[in-house]
Amino acid sequence: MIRACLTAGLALACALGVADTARADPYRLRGDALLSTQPNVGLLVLQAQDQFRPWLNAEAMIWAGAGEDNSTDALVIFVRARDPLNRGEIQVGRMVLATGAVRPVHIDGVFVRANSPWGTRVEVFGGAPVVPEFGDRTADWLAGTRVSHKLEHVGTAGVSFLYRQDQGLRSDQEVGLDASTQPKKWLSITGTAAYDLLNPGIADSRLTAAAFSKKLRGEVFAARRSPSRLLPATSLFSALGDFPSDEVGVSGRWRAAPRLDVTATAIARTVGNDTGADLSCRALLRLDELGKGSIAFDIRRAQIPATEWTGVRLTGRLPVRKKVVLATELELVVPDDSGGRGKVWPWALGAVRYAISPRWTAAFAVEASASAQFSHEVNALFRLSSRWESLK
Amino acid sequence: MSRTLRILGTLAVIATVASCAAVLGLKQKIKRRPFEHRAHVLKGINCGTCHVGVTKAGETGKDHLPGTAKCMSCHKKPHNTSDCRNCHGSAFARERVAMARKYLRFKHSSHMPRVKGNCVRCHSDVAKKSMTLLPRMATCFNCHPHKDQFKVRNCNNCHINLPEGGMRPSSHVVHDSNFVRRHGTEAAGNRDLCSTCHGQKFCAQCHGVTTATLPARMYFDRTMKVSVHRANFFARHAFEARGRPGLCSTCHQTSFCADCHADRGVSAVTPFARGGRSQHGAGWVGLPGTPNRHGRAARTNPIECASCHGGSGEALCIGCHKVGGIGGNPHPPGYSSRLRKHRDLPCRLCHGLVP
Repeated sequence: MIRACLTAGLALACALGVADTARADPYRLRGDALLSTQPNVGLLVLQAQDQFRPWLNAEAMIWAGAGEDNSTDALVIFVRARDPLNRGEIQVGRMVLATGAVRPVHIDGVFVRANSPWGTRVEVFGGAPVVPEFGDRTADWLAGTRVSHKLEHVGTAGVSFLYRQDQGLRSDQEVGLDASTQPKKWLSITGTAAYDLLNPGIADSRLTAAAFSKKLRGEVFAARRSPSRLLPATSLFSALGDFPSDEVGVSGRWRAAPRLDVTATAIARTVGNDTGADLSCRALLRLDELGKGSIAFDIRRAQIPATEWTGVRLTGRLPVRKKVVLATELELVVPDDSGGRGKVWPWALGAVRYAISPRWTAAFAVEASASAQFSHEVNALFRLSSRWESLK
Repeated sequence: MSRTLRILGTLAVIATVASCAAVLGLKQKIKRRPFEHRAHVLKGINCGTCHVGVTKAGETGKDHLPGTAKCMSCHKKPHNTSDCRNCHGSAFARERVAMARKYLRFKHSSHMPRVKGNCVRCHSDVAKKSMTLLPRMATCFNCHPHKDQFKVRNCNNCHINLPEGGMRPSSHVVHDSNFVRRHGTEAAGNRDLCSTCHGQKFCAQCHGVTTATLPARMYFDRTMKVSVHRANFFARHAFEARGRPGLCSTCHQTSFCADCHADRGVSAVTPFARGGRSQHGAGWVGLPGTPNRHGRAARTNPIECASCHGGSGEALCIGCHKVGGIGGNPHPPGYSSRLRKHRDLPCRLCHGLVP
């Protein structure tokens, strides 16, 4: 924890120090304090973002106080330098990387990107996987790369690779392929596939084709996921083989009226030898022309054997005065088989937000629920936020 | 049915349809009418006559939109006493102007000499009765190509705080429909495009290993924000995990599940003496030839098993399934692995460690 505090403090001090010499550049600081009664915790989140020069920027997000031991940790803390002509960039620190089809990683390390003038791009990253509270990670490291090529007016295709060691042993080694194209102005097709090299086979693959106009948007998608290959290869459960989970679905969004959007999704899914469906529909009604107030209604039915349930949700937001916004969210889940833990699991939240000043905001909420875990639960939440920006 | 009832019924239906039309935005309570710029221009009225001082406006300050008093300087006898802006000109257009003032760096004062006082050079939609009169970004590019800024994704020369400015892309990356479902596929090849608006902290709030609290919990008052873990996700997380095997592990390590399950006594590593309890009913584990559901369940969703039996809990499986054990070979037909049988984990747990 001390190490985390020192690192965070040093980076923030550097950021503030450098920013002081560049007053004309965008500069954002934000602090949020959250108090919750159940679990009984307080949380302070500090965010900083700055662009010292067009080619140099930094970001940090640090939290403190959550949990029983009042720990402190950094979520993101890095510095990035870019070539002004976009020939490359380098990023050093703690970051999340989603590079191509291989899985996203949270690392303490380095990311380097190089672009060629003819559209080829090479990305390389390496470092130590992040462990909460700077815990022990002896002999843990990972490295990856992505090589991609972009053809003007055609699309982009890339090949990626990820290697990870867990306590000195190989835990992940996968190669990925990603591609995206927009052959027509109204049509977009994207797909990714990750192949596990340790237990050979497709680990995760997804394909989406979307067609859209102002009023309508339609999507067709398919996915195959192999759960055992998504586990680290060091896990015993990765050696069992598995039944891949396949899904195909369609999704559509219809602007039924100027203020009303209706979105519906239907998915057919196989889990093992079982086949099921997942159906959902959402209607969003904006209460004014600008959408400052709105109501949404969701209904969902999951019909996969052993996980059959129906749920409805109602959400709303209503600005009552210039500085006050009321918000609510109600959810009702009805499991087909709850195992004797209540036939209906309701959940409700009522919140009010008050803008004390352009910089300060306070929000308060009460939530109540009953579920399989708790016969009843009432919780109060309070958040105080402050934002400071120097953007001109 | 009497005639009166029929009439009343018809009136009720009409009233319902009319009110629905208003709510849905089909029929505006106040007719949304673009301001009659063209008529004023044809009368020979210069833009600066109404938008007083706009030609000298800098990056900050008031928005230079005329109020009722300005209208009444010519229209001495208005047809009613309400604010002219209620009907003439749309609230949407005024809001866009206010947003532009806040989130764009732009000086009319430096542009006016270049266009020689001709506002229509940029505000070309004035003649089209458009709802918004802000020039499109393409209009800016006529004079300012910004090729270098585009190359380096540096939007800050013109845009202030792009994500909050509500300037969303109109291309294929537009975030409508169920964007959460497909965001990973979209981001796979467009990392730097996403980072134009979204900082690393945005990704890390969900994908970060050290996330203290999810955005849905932290910003509980933003109830319209779409998220995977909204509302009482905690209650239905088991359904979500079982219904989509492997999905959780695209973000969460198995230790994430195992730690929480251990704390709550629903883990193989929590002794019964400390309140640990089994989630499995009769027929879960048995000798060959007896009801034995665990093998099939483990192949269907091994991540669910690992969430309780991962790490030291694996010993429970090895007890029966090690080489020569009564549980037999747990590998499926045709199983292959690149791991070394006697050196790497987990192989050596069953096959034995050879020095």
